[in-house]
Amino acid sequence: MLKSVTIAACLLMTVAFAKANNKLNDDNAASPNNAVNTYVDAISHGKAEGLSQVIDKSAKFSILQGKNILSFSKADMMAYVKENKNIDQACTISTSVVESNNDMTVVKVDMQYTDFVRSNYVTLTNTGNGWEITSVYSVVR
Amino acid sequence: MKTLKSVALGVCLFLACTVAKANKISDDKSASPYFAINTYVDAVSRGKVADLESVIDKTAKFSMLRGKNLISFDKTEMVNFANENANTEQACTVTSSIVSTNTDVTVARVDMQYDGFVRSNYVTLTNTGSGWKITNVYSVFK
Repeated sequence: MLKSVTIAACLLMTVAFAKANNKLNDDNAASPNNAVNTYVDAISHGKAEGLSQVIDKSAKFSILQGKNILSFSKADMMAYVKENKNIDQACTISTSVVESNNDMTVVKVDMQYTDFVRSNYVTLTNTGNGWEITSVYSVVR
Repeated sequence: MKTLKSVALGVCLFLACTVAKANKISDDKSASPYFAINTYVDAVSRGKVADLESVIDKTAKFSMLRGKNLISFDKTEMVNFANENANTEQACTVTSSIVSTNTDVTVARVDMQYDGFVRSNYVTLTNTGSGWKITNVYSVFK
């Protein structure tokens, strides 16, 4: 009797743990869409919540300026987003998937301002922890 | 006057052609992403490192998925690694394909089929002001 109660208790705990542990995370990271949406919210509306989780620690952010590429780390990007928290950008956003396969996804996020367009090519990779942003390359025209 | 005009025109044309020609080689090479891709393939599969440095942007990042972690390297580390393995032929069959391409960014997939596993490299090239350069390589083993 005691044995089956213990087993039942163990089972229940395992199930509860499994549920508590990963459900939200797994759902969010199971497709690249959540990471892309979080990125778009951060750069266009200054919503920084959840941004850190969807960016890999080795991620690189780069911008083409003239003939040079300037590049920034995850820490630089997070600091920039925090400084611009809750600021709405005066632009229209359009998003399209450039490429998507099992290992990596490239999404183009266009920010159309009055006189110019900033195109961000966001690369996401299917790491062991789900889909994370590993590279963003921006061109301003 | 007419002669002077055509002479001037001739000189201008000549100059334009010479100037255009002076830059020809490097322009041709980096005007499309293919030279950079081929150079990368030659370097990783056959240890031909001659032009490797010139086709990689200085901010480039090379990363590899190991279990649940991404390990990443910069240009210097990659070039050093390639130099250490100069002229070493890898025992693999290489297949490359263009995954996606537009005016700003090209992604090429370079598969290296070894005996027992495949190393897939996703090579991202960007059209910088100084031609197409490799800015990112992401490698997965399966």
